[in-house]
Amino acid sequence: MSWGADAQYTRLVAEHGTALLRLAVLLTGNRFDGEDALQDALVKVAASWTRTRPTKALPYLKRAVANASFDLIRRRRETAVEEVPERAQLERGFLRYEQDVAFFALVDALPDGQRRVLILRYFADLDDRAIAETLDITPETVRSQAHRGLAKLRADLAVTAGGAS
Amino acid sequence: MSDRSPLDRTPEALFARLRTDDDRWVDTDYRTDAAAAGPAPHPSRWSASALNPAHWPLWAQLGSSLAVGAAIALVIVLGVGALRAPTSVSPPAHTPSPSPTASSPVAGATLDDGRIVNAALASVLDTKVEPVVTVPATLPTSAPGGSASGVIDPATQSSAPWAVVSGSPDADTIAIGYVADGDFGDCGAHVGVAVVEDATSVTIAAVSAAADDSCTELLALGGGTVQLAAPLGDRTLFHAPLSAPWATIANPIVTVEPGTSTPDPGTCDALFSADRRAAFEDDHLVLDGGPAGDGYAQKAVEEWASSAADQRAGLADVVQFGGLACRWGVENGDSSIPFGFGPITDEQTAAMQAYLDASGAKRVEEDGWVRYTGDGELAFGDGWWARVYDNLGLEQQGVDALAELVAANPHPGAFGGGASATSVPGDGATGDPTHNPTGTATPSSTPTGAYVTTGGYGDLRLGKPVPDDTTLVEWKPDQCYAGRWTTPGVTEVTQDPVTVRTDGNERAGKILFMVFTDATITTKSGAHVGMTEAELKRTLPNAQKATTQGATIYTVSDAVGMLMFEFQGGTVWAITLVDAGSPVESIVGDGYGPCYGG
Repeated sequence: MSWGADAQYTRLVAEHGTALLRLAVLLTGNRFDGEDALQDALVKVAASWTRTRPTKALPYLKRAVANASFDLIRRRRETAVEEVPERAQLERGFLRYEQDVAFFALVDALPDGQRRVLILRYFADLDDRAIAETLDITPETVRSQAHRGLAKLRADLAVTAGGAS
Repeated sequence: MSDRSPLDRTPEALFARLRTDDDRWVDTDYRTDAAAAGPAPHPSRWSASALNPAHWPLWAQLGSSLAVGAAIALVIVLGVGALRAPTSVSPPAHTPSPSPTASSPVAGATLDDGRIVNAALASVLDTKVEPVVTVPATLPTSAPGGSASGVIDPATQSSAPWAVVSGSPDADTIAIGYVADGDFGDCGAHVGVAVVEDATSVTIAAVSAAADDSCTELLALGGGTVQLAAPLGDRTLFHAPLSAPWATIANPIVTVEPGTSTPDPGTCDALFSADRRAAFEDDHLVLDGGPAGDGYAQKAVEEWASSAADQRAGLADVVQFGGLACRWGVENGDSSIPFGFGPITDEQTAAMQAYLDASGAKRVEEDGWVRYTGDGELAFGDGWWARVYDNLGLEQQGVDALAELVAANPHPGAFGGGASATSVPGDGATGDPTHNPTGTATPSSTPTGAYVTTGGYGDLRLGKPVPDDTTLVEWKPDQCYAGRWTTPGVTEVTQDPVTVRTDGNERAGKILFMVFTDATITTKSGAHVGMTEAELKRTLPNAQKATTQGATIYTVSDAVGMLMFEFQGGTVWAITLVDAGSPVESIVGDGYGPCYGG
C-alpha cells in the first residue's frame, strides 16, 4: 500500500470519522454497536482501499458503515434474545438534547426499511441510487419507503406536538 | 443554539440539524490506553478509539480540508491586509539602573532591613476590586499580603502596572490607579501597595496577594491613596519592577515633575483646557470619579474589563502603558466620553498602528501626529498616544477635544506621566521596562524548550522571502523519545506533544499540519500552550482573532504558513502550524513525526 493511499484514507477518516460513527450509532441504535460497526467497516475498507475510486470514497465509506451496521444487527438478532437489549432500552448518550432523543425515538419506531432509508438519505446524505445499492433495493423502493417514512414521522410529530401544547 | 421544539420542524429539517450541528452530539471519550500509547495507527488498524474527536485538535474536528481552506483564506485576507511585521514584545532585557533603595532612607521613613513594616507607609487598598476605579476613600490599614511575615519586601517586590491619578510635590499623598487581578474564582485579589522612600526617590509597588499574577486575563482596575512619610518634593517617583506577567508590556515608569502647576499633574483635569472643560459642562458632562474640583479623577470606563480582554488599542492599553483613563459623562447617567492619554513606545506604536491598519481604521496624517478614526478616535505622536471614544454621539466634541489634547500635551511628560518622558537616571528614553531599583533580574515568563519556527527565520512575517530549502520546524535528536517528538529529558510519553500530518491539496500543494500541545514548545516569540488570551495578545499583538464552531482561535500568517492558536477553557490548548506549501522532507508519513525511525 502506498503512502499516498494511506494519506488519503487517513485524511478521509480523520475528517469524517465522527460523522461516520454517528451514522453507525443511528443505524445500530446504540453507541457500542456503532463503534463495533465502524471498526468493522474501516478495517474492511482499508483492506480494499486501493481498489476504491477516490472520487467516490466518502459515499463508499458511508455505505460500508451502513452495511457493517446492518450486518452487526443481523448477527445480534441471531444471538440469544436475552443477551440483546431492545433498541429502545439502549442508551442514547450520544445525543445531547431531549428533543433530539425524542425525535429519534420516533425514527426508531419506524419499520426497518423506512428507518434505514431516512437515515441514509437525510443523515448520511446519500442519494437514492446509493441507498438502493446499499440496501439492495430499487431506487423506486427507496423513494416509496422514504415517502411513507416521512409521512409517518410527520404524523407522529404532529401528535406529539398536540400533546405538548 | 435554538432549542426550539422538534415538533414544529419537518423531519427533513430535524435530520439536517443533527447532520450539521455538532453541538447536538455528545461524543463521549472512548479513547483506549492502547490508542494513546502507540504511534498513530496504520490505516489497516484503525479502531474506533482512534477516532476520538475529543483528542483531535480543532482543525481535525473541522475536517482538514476546511482547515486548509480556512488557512488559505486567512493567508489571503492577511496578505491583502498587508500587515506590518508582527511586533511582538520581547521579554525585556535587564537594564541595571540606580537603585533608589540603595540610597540612605529619608529620616522618618519606616525601613527595616530593607523592608517596610506593616502599613506604616502602605495603604492597603480595598480588597474588593471592581472593574472600575473606586473613589479614593478611607482605606483599611491592615498589613498587606505578599509575605509570610505580613510585610512587603521592596527589595524583591515586583508590581502590577500603576499610574498616578493625582499628586503634587507639596502633597504627602499620591492617588494611584493600577491594573490588578480581579477578585474572581481562584484569582487572588489585589491587596495593597508598597512604598519605599529615600532622599531622592519614592518607589511604589502595586502588590497582589496571589501567589503569582496568573490571572491577568481577569483584569480589573483598582485605586487608592498612597500615604508618604513626607511630601514628594523634588524626589523622583519610581514604578517598582513589573512582575512576570507584566514583563512583556512597557513599564509605566511614572515621574512627577516638581513644580507642575495646577491642575495637578497627572490628573484628568489637566488633560484639557478651561475652555474645553467649559464645553463639556455646557453639554452637561462632568468629570467622573469624584466631586468636581477635588483635583483628581480617574475612572475606568464600564467597558474596562471587556476592553482589557477583547480590544486592542483600547483604554485598557492606555493604562497598561502608563497613561490615564478619564471619563466625562452625563451626571448620574450611563453615557460618557472616555479619554485615554499616555506614553507609548515606538514598538507599541508600531503594533497598534499595524492593528489599526489591518482592521480598516482610517488613517489621517496630521501636523506632527497621526489620527485614526474607526472605533473611536486615536492619536499617535512622538512618545504619546491618546484615545477618545465618544459613545454619546458627540462626535465633534470628542474630535475637538482630542485635537486640543494633542495641542496642549505634546508630550506625556507635560502631565506628569510617561515612560518615554521618564527622568529616571540610567533608564532609556523608551521607558525601559526593566527598570529595577533593586538590581534583581526581572523574571521572564517565557518557557524554554523547542522552538517552532519557519526555518529559523523568526516570527512569521508577511512578505519575508524564504529560501526553497527552508525547513519548517527546528528539532533536535534529543527531542525525540521512542519515535515521538517530545521535549528534552521527557521519558514518560503518554501522548504526542506534537502531531504531524500532511495533506495533499490540489489548490495549495503539500500541506503540513503540526499540532503542538506541549507548553514547553514555543513559537519564536514565546507563544505557547497554556497562555491566556491576554498573554497571547501581548506576545503576538498582530494575531487575528476568529471564532469558529464556538471556539476562539488566533492566527498569525505569512507566505510560509499560519500558526493557529486554539483556545479551550480560557487558555491556548493547541498550536497548529499550517504550512502553505513548502516542501516537507522530514515527514515520513502521515501521523508520524520527524523522530519516527530517525
